[in-house]
Amino acid sequence: MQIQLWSIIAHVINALILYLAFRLWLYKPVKKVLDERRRKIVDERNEIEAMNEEARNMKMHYDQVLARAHEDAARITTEANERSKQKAAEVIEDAKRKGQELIAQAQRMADLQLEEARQNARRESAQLVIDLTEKMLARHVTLGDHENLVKQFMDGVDGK
Amino acid sequence: MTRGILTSAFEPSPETLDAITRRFTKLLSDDVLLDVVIDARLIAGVTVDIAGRLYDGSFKGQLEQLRANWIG
Repeated sequence: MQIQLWSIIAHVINALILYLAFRLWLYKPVKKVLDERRRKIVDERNEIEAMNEEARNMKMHYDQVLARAHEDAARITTEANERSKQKAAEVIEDAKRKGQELIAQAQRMADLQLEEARQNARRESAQLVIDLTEKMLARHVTLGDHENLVKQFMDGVDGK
Repeated sequence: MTRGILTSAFEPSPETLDAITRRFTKLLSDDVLLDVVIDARLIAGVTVDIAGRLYDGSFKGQLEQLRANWIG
């Protein structure tokens, strides 16, 4: 088999031409497209990373805000409970005080009424005794009693 | 002369009226003339209203004094 030099050279030249042609019209545009796409992907990835970072920061911020809100809510609830307990204690204490005042007032009124009733009873009893005594004396008094009384009157008249 | 009113539960005897008159004459250091009134409400004893003052020697007066002390 005879090797034809010119044929080989032609093939080599042909291959070189094809290589150059491919490189010029196919490889470079495709590489350019691929580079562009790679760059775009990198940009998008960076953008996504930036967005993720921003989202993480926002989440952290919101978590802190939420935690503070929980703390504030717990504090407000605790303070409200304390105020409610204090208010309830004040209301109970006030009610006790007023109740004791009412009881004391009722006791004073009862004592006054009892004392008044006692005085009325004593007054009525005394009145009754005097009335009865007067009637009995009027029935049983004698002239002798009268004269004795006149004598006593004259003995003590300058002392009256 | 000082006039007064002697109120008596019973009709006073002349001796009793004279004794009372002399007693008040001595007390007031003046002649005394007593007008007599009979009032059975006194029960017993006498009262003498003289020289702006009432001298009470009756059961009624004693009962009234008792009433005043007890009842007020």
